[in-house]
Amino acid sequence: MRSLKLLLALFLVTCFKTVAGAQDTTQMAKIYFVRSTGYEGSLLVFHCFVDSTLMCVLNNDQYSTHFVMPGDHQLNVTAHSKSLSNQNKALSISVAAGQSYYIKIFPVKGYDNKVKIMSVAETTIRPVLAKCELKTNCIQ
Amino acid sequence: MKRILIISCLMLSFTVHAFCQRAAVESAFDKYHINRIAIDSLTQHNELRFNFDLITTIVTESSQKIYKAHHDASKTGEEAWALQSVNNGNPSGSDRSTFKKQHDQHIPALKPDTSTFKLVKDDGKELVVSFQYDQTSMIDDNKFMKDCLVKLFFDATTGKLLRSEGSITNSFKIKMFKANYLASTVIYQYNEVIERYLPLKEEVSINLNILGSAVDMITTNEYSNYQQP
Repeated sequence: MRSLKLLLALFLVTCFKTVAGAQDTTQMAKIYFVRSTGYEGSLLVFHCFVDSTLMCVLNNDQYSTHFVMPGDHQLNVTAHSKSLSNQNKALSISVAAGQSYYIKIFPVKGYDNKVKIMSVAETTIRPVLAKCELKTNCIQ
Repeated sequence: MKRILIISCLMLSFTVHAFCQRAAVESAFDKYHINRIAIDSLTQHNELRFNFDLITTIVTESSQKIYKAHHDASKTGEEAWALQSVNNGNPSGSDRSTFKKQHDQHIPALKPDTSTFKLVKDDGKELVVSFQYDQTSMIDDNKFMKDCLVKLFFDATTGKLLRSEGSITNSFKIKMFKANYLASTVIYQYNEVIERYLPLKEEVSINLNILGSAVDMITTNEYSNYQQP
């Protein structure tokens, strides 16, 4: 009987956590990092950062989604570095709760493997997302 | 004889269906007190009646160009435009020529084909209406827009247009290039003085086939400091 109670309590806590978690995201903004093009053979992975924190590593034709708090954020994508030394090339965006923001990654082909990023409209990203795969196990 | 009758019935049902759709859209416009004249004049470049600043950004994989310009409505033709900078530097002769070509084209405004009006959504908060352009209003340079599906998004509580979206999902030809798809978004602001909508931000994305490779080209126009001359 005692173990049954314990099991029930655990079940309730899990349910509460799930519901609480779901409520949290509605108060947050959703950021998409989308990489539809890149280097041949997917040899090079791109590292996506929000406020200097590594959020995802993307290959060709992949995208990732991340919930962030409303307000100002610095976004960055690098071809090589797994950490950021400065925010010189960051994209500053101001996000609102319940809204989605689409960040398109443009690899600039050349010796220095520069990457530029741009916040684009949903209409722009819709056909691109259709041919990309959502990466859920992000930091790999 | 039977076949002719069936075809006639089908054509009649399509006509009746299109008429009902248009009637539903017009009824929704009335219900939310939407300024129909302002909607009909969306493509007529009402912004050219104002002075304003324009930032145009053209991005492809290999390049990015940012044009900063000012429009002076008291002047006419190419005199009305002053290109101030390109990528924060002085514009070259080639930049000026490209900019001039982009803003000196006299392409007639596209007209909505009212027989294609459809009510997409009406939930009391948001009204969404779709249509296609009237092909008789097109010239060779914009003939590819015949396949463009346009959606207008209204705030049902205010009756104001918030944005429009356009999309061509089939491949098409634009001048000498073959394109796989086109997508656009325009965000509007209602001007109470002239009772017309003015664009705040436009974004057009085209996926082009260049030398066998698909290349994305994104063009954004950001309008600010609207002032009457």
